[in-house]
Amino acid sequence: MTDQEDKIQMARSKKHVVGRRGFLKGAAVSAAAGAATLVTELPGAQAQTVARPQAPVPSAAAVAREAGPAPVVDVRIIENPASDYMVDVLKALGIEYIASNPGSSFDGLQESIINYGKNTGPEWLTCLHEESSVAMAHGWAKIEGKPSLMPILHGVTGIQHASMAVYNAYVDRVPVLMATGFQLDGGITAHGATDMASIVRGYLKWDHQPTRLDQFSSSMLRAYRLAATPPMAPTMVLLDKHLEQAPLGPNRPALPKLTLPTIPSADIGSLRETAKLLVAAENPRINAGRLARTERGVVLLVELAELLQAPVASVGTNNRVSFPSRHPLAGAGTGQPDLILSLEAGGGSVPGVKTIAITAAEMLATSNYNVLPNSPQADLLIEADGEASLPALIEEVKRLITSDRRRVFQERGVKHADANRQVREQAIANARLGWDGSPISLARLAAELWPLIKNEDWSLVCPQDFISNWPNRLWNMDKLYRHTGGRGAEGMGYGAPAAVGAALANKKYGRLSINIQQDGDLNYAPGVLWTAAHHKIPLLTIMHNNRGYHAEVMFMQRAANLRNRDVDRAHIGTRLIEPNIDYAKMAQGYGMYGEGPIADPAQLVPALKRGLEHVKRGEPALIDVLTQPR
Amino acid sequence: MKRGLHRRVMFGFVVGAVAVFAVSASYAQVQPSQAGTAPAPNVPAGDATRGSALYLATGCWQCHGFAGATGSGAPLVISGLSASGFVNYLRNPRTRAMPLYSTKVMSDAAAADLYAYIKTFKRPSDAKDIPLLQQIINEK
Repeated sequence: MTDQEDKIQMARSKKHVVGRRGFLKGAAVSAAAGAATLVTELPGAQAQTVARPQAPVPSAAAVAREAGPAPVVDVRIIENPASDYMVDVLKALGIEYIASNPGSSFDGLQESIINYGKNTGPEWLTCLHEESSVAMAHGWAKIEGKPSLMPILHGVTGIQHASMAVYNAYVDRVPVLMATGFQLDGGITAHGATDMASIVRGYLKWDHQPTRLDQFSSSMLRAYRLAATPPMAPTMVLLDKHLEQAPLGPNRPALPKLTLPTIPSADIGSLRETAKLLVAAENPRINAGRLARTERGVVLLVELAELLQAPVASVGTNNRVSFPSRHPLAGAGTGQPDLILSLEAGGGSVPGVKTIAITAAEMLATSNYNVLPNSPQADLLIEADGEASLPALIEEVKRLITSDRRRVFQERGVKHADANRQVREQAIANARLGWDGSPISLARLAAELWPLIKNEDWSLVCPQDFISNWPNRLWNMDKLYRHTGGRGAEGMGYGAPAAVGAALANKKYGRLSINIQQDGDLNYAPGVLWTAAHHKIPLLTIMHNNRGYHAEVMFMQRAANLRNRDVDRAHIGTRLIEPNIDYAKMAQGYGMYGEGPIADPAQLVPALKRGLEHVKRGEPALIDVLTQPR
Repeated sequence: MKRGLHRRVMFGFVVGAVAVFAVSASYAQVQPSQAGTAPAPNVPAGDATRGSALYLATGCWQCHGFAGATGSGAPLVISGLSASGFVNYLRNPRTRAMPLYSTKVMSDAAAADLYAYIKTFKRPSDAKDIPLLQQIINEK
């Protein structure tokens, strides 16, 4: 700490620093003579004591000569700003955290949160990039299921910084409620614009710009509801700085009452038809995508699968957990299916196989047509939330199952379980490949980590596609929160901040959060490591450090091969080498425990244990592991 | 993987790989431009040391891992391909993921060197000889 910082700290602790109000008083005195509007008189300004000799005070005429005519200054003290009421609205909605990179367009609201609101419920999280703020909210919502960590963005610049993370959340169908401050007459006019939300409206479910305080309340309530109701998606409320800075009048608007609407479930006629087809099918298969929104969704899907003895395939490697990975019915089962029940999943149709799809995705009219599962090819398409539709579907299936059908189901269930066992054992056995290699194989990394966490209440808070899905193959993914799934739109820069957001949510439940972090992804906005350190968010980050954008390394290789020319230059523009990035030092620089790079498999477990010790003390830690490419 | 290669990989293998670009370039220079679909010739005996450099320089590691055992490509450590079968596969890959290596970008001699190197990969242990994997298999 420098001498100057020491002094600041001392002054802060003894409360001897010149207070905001005192500062304003001083400023007001000098400006009072020319003030056109003075809302509050400022008595006692002359009581300011000055301990040291002063220079002679220039006369008004002297000042006028030097500085020209005094400007018209609007000096006011507003002790009951509207932004205090806004804080009460946030509290009424249950907003627990604000994730924000500071900006002048919402300084009034920020001041209200930290002073009037006592910086608790919501608490302010200092973020170093707006993309990180929104990705943190994305990760948080995947654990909490609701948008109670709210990013606040600053004008046009904040929205543009955040836009990739907004798109990720949109495609991932995750509830993120955002606020964006703006000031059209602000000092930097380029930060304001009319209809700012239009920048990201293509991937927002709803946005609104309230013009009155009571409208702020209703807008926030609606934005929250719409974000958190399937099909879930980001929403945004734009906050005019003048609205938050204005004095709160005598008629304080009512606070919102948060009641979430019922979730649209399938109509009974469609469910009866679905149940009839499922019970009659000889080899039905269930494809589960983003089905489970809550732990109950996992329980319901297990019940349906066991009733039918139908296998449950998780479509894609980046899904959240909808079905336990070690359940005997997990996977594609055996034999060709004659009926597919697609639950919030894409994947198109299989020729000759009837498909029934239940999805809320089609209800979001702005859905990007290219994004699965927005366009499931189905013989029967039911526009409804999958999880909400399961209880009635289960009852209909139960009603139709006869003892004969139950016997048939049990026989096929044994076959599916046997197929599952074989696939699982082979998948685990494949981890032997490259077991002793250096750099360390991703299978070895996941396998060695498993015994260290399996007796904890753990949660994997990162995508798995670039780590070859090894945790899914080796670990027991038995609950929704065991894996938070992928990025949504596969936009890089999601991993680290989403992991921090999810870890913050997991912290409430005493869960151990694990992030196997791609090196390329971390370098988009590594400042979130500081946010984790500053706010003491326990999270073990293990670098999957393959020193490059490896998918692109392979793409470049293939491009050169396809053109039949130099095949030894794929590293140009794709690898992160010369110099190698020192992630341990990066972590240390941001104030957290960092160790590595670890390249020898024999050194891996001790390093992971050291990292876990820090995390169990409530801190983030990073272990840099040099890994095989995939 | 050979110990020398280990060191290169662990401490900046690309530095080594840059040095071998000249080697692969010289291969390319002496080969006429041909379509990649010609039948594989009788494959000469290769040099594993040159092959190890080629394995890095020409991108094999990208999909097959640094020891031919990991990644999105087929595990080379358990491949049963003969030398001519290997060269044929380079010229006529059966998957879209596997790039085609024509004789213009990799000569038969270079392919033979690669094959010689791949044959030095240590076969993996059986899963039941790795207690941790056996433990995971036995978990419910």
